[in-house]
Amino acid sequence: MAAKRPLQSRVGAADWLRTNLFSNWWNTIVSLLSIALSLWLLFVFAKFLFIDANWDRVWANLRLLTVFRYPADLLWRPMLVIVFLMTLFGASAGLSGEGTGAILRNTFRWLMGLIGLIALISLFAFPAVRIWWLLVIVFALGGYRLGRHFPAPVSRPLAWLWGASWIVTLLILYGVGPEESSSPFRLVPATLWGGILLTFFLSITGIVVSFPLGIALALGRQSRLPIIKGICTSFIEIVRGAPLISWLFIASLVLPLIIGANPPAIWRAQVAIILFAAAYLAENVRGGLQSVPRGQTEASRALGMSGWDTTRLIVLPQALRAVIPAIVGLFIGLFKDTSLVTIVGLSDLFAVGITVTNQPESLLVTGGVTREAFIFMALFFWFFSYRMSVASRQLERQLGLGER
Amino acid sequence: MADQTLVRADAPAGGERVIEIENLNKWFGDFHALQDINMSVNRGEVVVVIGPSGSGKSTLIRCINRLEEHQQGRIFVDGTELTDDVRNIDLIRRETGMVFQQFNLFPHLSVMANITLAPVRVRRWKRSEAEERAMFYLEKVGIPEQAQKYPGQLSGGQQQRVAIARALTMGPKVMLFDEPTSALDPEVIGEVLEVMVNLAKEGMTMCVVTHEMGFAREVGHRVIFMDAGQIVEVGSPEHFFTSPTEERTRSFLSKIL
Amino acid sequence: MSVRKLPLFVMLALLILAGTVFGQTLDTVRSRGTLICGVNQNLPGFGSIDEDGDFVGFDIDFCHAIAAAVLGDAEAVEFRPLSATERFTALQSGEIDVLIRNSTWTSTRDVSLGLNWAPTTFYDGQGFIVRKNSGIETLEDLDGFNICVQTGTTTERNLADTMATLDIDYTPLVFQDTNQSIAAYDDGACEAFTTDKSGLVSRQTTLRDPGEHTILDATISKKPLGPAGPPTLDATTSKEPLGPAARHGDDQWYDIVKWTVLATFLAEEFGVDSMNASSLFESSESPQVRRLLGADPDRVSALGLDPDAFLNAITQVGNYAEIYDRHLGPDTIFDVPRGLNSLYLDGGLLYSPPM
Repeated sequence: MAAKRPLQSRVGAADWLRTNLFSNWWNTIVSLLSIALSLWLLFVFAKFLFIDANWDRVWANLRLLTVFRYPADLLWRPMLVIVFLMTLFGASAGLSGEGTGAILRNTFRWLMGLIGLIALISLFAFPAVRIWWLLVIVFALGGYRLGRHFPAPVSRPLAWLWGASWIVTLLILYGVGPEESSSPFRLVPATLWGGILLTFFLSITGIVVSFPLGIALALGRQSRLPIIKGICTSFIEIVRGAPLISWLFIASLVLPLIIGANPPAIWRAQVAIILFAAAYLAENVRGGLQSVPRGQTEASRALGMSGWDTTRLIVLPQALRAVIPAIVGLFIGLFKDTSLVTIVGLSDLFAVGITVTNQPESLLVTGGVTREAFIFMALFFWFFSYRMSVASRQLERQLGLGER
Repeated sequence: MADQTLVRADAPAGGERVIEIENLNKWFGDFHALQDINMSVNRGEVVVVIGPSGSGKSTLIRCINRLEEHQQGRIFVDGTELTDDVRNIDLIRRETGMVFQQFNLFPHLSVMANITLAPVRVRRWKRSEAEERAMFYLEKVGIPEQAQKYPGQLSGGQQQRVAIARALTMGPKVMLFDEPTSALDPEVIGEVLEVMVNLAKEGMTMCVVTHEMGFAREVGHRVIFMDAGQIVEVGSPEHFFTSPTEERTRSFLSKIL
Repeated sequence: MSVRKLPLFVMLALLILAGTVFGQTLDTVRSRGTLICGVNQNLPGFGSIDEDGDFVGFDIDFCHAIAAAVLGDAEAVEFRPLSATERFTALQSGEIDVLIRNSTWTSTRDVSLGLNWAPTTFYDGQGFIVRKNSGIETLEDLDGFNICVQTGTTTERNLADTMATLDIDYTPLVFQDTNQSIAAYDDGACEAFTTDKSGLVSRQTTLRDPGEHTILDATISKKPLGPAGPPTLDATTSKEPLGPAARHGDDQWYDIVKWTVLATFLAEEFGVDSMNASSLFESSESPQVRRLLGADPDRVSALGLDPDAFLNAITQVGNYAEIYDRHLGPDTIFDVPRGLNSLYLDGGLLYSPPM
């Protein structure tokens, strides 16, 4: 009986192949060609990745690629931010229930896998931060257990901590004391931030801030007050009327001349990113709002619920779930579009990648290291974009369950 | 209009007026949807409004909780006049339960959450209290076992019963039904009507727009026939089944009976 | 040289309006304690960032020299990497004190953009790289061939102009950036690759077989350009004088930038370098050297600087030859011949007025 089983499954696989790939001569040819092409591409790519590519320059520049010019003796500060955020994330994951909560836990597990890998590498290669990566793991898992076993006392402080997390992150990254001192808490101006740190900072801040702003704009556009409606509508239409790259230019070149001051470049770009994302988000949300039947509002109002409660508890949740795929798509786009800040002189991951290819030492490598740098960046962006779309698909499925 | 006799649908004298409508007029743009409506409903009365589609009967009961805004006339619900004052509107809506043709349950909330949302948010009841009341009414409409499901997992008849339980849990003084069985499959209409009949027998004040004459005959106190935005004829259910006076009424009844 | 896009021109008017509102740059820099220098981080040899996050390069050292002259500390510089598009606005809006970002001095920029160019620190020009075994020695030999070039640059336009003048038929293959162009050339997509000569020299090392390629040099066009045309000395097809720029409206600051650059020329001319400057300050009898190093302080002080300003610049950073050799000289991977960037005494163009 036990010996028969694998045999059966092999027959099953053969059947599957026959019906799906080799059902007729034309199908067979297409299948064979596709397989050959895939294998060849795989071979070419693998050969480059493992044999031809020269990863020395990327490896040597890992600090530049991750935090850019953030002072070497202060690397503990970005690491502290990771510890802090992962602890909160762990607690939230531990706290979360079934359904949508499971997605949070999946994401947490996946992130922990990635962090585990990084911790393992840094254990051998990066003595400066290895203790910190271990701390990340300890605290994240600790947060998870805390959330799991003490949900009641944890949930309220957790919400407050999440609310303060952005400010706390900024405070840790910026620091306090004067820049010139050798104090571990000294100021690190934003001009020194860059690489993956900046990419994450710009995109996460962009996502977090543009989300409520976009919803507010969408609601404002539906407002009965003509002034609010007019302001929101024209804002959305104007911002959507030009590509992000133009707004980055305007924010970084025209704005300083108009306001006669120079806010740091990072904030100028950040504002452009937020407003741009908010305008697009608003249009997505508006589509969602329109998809909610009138009867929902009427039923809610008929129960005596206030307009604000109706919008907040009845209309918005339905509107947002209707457009979640679009919103996640928007955020994936935003995440990748942050690389446009390169053209206003900010050193996000993409800019640093280019810089690495232009180091004199990189020019000693035959063929340069452009391909290596781009593969590194592509992997990074793909990794996180892919993860976001997986979470979005799970979320869709999960929400569909409630609606069925 | 002046040459026509105005038909008034006044409740019997001596009762306690829960709904009072005086000279109500409503236009949708140029369309005169409701014309000089005068009607009232006593506490404990079951009033059935019938009429062809487009006759204004839905608009009429939607005016009672201000889902539609009227332009002329006055509406009092439980002594409070419906004006632009938002506090009055909210007060009246709190005391007025409404059941819609399309159920209008909130699809993203469980049955229990659908029912307890307004009591907790509007009446400021404790959640446990609200859930207790909710279960009471779910049992009354015969589906306590569905409390944790989502509306999408229920049949149409079950959904409408949840909608009724949702309205009842708020403890309204009057219930408005806007064609509650029109969107239902024929085989489940009965279960909803049964709930409504029981409700009527318990003495709930009800204002029902429906074509279910069986319901009207069983528990209705008065029937109002509307056509083209006007009240055309008013009488007891027997009156309508045996000797309707108006030609329009006879023609309508012959179509639906 | 660079990609120039519409937004830049849109703002010209604003720029000029903003031109003079910023007061004494020297005071600003002194009170701030650092010099903010707009630079390129992506031009090997001129400006790049090393693995430790430090800026290095030929342009970078002039930032250090100005910081040393103004503040006495070559390290008191805050580098602001700028894209080609935003560089001039950054200078106009006061975001940076001086722009040293391989920026070509042109009449438009000098006049309309409201900028002042300090003396050219590097005379660049467009060049061509070809395979040695291709037999190509002059521009005429490129007739009918593909030429790889970066799009949206003065290089692309100069190429078209020159080839039209010489009546040479060619196919341009355009790419977004230098790395792509050189890779395409290496893969054989085109017979020649053209960009600034400094760029050619620095990219040659990335070729699979650098020794198999040569930069067209001292090759005389067989056909004269015509009666009015200038004599062509080599296949260099454009003038690209690169130098520091300061904004209009602050002559004192412009003088400081200008004379710091000139001081590095003078130091090379007088044989003053980072090693001997201090002792020459004590011992030199030459009035020129004494004026340069501030032993006779009145000339340097007239600029509003401390008397030892240029002594500091030369001690901490070096004279022109030292700067050049450090980043572009024979000991570097670039090994760019001095050529036009030699002192006038050696047949080059570096010539400082007397101090």
